[in-house]
Amino acid sequence: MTGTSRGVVAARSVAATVGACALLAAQAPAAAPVPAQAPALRVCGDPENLPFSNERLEGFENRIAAVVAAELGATPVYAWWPHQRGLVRNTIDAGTCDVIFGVPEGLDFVLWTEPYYRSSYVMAYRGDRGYDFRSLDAPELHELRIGVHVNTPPEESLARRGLLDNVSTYSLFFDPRGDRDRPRKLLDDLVAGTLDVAVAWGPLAGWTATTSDAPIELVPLEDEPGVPLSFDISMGVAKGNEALKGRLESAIDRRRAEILAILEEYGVPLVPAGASGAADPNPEAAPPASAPTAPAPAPRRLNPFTGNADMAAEGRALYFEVGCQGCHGGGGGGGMATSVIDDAWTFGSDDEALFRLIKGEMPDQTMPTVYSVLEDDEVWKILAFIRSVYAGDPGRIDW
Amino acid sequence: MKRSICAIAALALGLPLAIAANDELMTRQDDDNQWVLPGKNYSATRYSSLDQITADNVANLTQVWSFSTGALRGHEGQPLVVDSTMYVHSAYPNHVYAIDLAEEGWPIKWRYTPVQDDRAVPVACCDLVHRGVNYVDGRILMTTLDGHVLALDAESGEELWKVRNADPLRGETMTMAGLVVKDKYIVGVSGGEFGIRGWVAAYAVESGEQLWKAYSMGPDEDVMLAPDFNEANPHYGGSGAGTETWPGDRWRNGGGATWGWYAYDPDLDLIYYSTGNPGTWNPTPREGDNKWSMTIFARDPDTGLAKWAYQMTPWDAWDYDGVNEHVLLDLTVDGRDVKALVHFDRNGFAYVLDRTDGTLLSAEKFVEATNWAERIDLETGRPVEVPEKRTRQGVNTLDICPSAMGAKNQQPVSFSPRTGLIYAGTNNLCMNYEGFEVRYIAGAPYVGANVRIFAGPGGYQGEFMAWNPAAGEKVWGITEPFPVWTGTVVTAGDVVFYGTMDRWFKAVDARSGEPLWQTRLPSGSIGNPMTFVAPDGKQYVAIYSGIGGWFGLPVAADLSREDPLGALGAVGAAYDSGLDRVTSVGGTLHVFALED
Repeated sequence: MTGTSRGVVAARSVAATVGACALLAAQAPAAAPVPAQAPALRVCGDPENLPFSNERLEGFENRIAAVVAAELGATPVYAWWPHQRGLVRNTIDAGTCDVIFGVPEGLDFVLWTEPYYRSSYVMAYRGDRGYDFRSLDAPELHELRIGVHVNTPPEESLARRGLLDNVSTYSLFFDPRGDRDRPRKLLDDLVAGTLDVAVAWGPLAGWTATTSDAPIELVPLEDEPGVPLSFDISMGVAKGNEALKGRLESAIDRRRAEILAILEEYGVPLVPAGASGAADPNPEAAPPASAPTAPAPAPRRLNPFTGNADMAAEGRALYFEVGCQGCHGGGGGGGMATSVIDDAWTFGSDDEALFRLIKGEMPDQTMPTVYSVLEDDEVWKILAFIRSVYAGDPGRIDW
Repeated sequence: MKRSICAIAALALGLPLAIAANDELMTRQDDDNQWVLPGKNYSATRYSSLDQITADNVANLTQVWSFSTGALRGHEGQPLVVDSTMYVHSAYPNHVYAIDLAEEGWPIKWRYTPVQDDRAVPVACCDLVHRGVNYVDGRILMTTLDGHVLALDAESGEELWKVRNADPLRGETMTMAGLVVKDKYIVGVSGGEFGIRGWVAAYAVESGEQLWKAYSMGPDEDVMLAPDFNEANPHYGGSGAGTETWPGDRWRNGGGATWGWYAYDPDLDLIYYSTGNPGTWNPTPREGDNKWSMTIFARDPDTGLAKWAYQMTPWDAWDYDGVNEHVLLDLTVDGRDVKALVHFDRNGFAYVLDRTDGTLLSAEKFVEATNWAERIDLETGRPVEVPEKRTRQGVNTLDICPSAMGAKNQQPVSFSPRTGLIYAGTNNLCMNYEGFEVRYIAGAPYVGANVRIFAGPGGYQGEFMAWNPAAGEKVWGITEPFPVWTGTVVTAGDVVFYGTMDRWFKAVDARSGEPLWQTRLPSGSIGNPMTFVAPDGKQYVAIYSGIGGWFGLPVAADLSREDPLGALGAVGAAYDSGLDRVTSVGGTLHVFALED
């Protein structure tokens, strides 16, 4: 569960999107042809996602980017692409820009810097309604109208409390056909009074509390077992781009006070750096912001059973027994879900990626996360079987 | 505007909407200019008395309007026409459009797309289809893939209420149209491949409040048996059968999904629907009748209580998901007038029951290849099985007909009172089937069988046929290279329409079976043709194109061809017959009329 939840954390970070931005992105390098100018910090910016970022540079990430660029003696040059599904593939991987601001921990497609802030999901309510909530455990919540963005971790928190019957869900994602489902609608409805409580990512709610005339109270939510609700936010660069990562981290350290002031100006509810909830099953995954050394990349596990025919045979039995066959086909060719025998891998082809996908830990995964119940060995056996039936390009084997 | 003001006034005055709603649909279903119920009328005959288009002039039919739904998965179901507005739906993400037939060019009045939890997508068996919306009392009622039931203002598209009926995180999804009866919207659930326990529930049209919920299996209070349940046929089973016919508590994951087409008899005040396959396709661990999977139910729409239930396929070993539609006809069988219910089941038998009490009157094979049972014993109501075709765990049982896709899938039949014939699209598919042990994990697939599907005797995969329900025999048929996965509509012009997966839309003489007209669609069709009259006074015929559904999933989802067991057997069957060479994906509503 945790990985899935993390993917959808901070700014909306997924969903289908459109290709028009590629043109905008292509203009970025061409926009700085004068050699005498300061070097560019090429930022992958979201064109319309306040309070984080927009094309008019009104978001707090735009402001932070300007501060960081100034520290590096550079000018921010933007390639615009919505921070949704396909972001990394269409920006950093396509070479149109070098750094994404506002990357939540767990976004595995990039190399993270040390975090520059940490926030949490919050419950927000109008202060003029006579409520005084301290947590989602308040019994009155069973009688109230609650709104939450679909597929975010607090939806699970609400489900655990049996509150889903009262819950209206909102889209976190950009709607390419129009903007009526934009993420702000959740908070607009709270302000308008059609919702009693909104459970939202802190920066979104904090911005509403700061800019709205309505008195909005915010209650930060604490991590729960298996449900992380607070997250470190970093900058992301291309994997292997250690040089830029180091320069950005140095800039974060030197400009920390200015960054903090910007976050406070936008009302971002901050959680002390490294204050991972006691319940976080893997606290070392969230390094403290002031760690003296850069956080080591997560160790990439290898399947101990690859090529082991006995284990693959056991894996085949498990593949049928636990239901993989139901979606991926009796021979692995897919059905409800994708093929697992060709060389198209949505979330990466390596052992680590597939292990996490099966375990339900991959950000943005669409596969059900129910297989967290499998033992690690069972997952490796299933994976050994899948490797044994691979029918794709042999040149693309990286396991 | 006028309509919504009236609706508000009615609410303000507290008028009894229940009676008004019922009367409204009873009146509208008889107006053949409109098409207000999914099955045209509560008897689900899909017959229209319109007769501008006839066997003599249908050759002049031409496409006069078409409309992209904005979705590219399988398009099952049919649009509605209410007064001068047409309501068009789509496959996931379940767009709805109101089209103004009174204005030149038929512009869009409003559009609506529900906010959905995309975690429903990977647990939707057999493509992301949707079978259409319902109308009553100024409201559009619909289901969403992610398990919600909702109501829209029919004039504005504004969402009036939205409630959760099913939970995709437990493998429960919704694809069905449901049915409005009186002041209730009655719906079921999909998810028979995920170890769900199926149910039917009634929601108040006005508020979305759940009024009752009756499970397909489990204790009597869950199944909701009336005191006189199965009184006329106690041998069908009664109290306790919903648990006692299962080993241990396997009924808890007993399947019995309820996503088919529903019918209603206002005189008897009974709704009719049926339940799907029992949980896990592997029969070995669930020895017993597995009631009430594979069952036709008759329930009181107000209380939900079951008046009778008849199980077609006890201890299913073939995935003969019993959800197909029911047509309510007044027939003369063996010289006796009966209020009949006719049901073409996936298991290859066309059943005729007395719909007052469930008494079985006849059951005949409607696809000749059917070989899993010799016949249905009319005394016991049970199939006389062919033992070597009963599947079991660890054995690959060969050449079973029909396949798990059924001798007919969900595509609903039509009936013409002028010819006395039923018109059905059928499948000529057989299979090899091997069950295996499977562990129940909530929200994970719970299939437990490998199925290899292939064409039956003759090498063709489908047939469009006319069937005499009173006699229980086929009158004529037109073989097709692919399964016929569209519904049919028949008119007083004695023309019957159907579509094909290889992109034809066809008109046939309802009496002789002679092909009269055909045209090519941009994508294969699995939708249900319908007909109406627009304010310009002309008769129109409409059908969706957009390949998909279980058989069409390999093309709809662009699956690779290496694994013939993929998509629960659809990959082998669809690529055997070259479906990917004749169609690509689509999602369009096509409207046809006679050339001026």
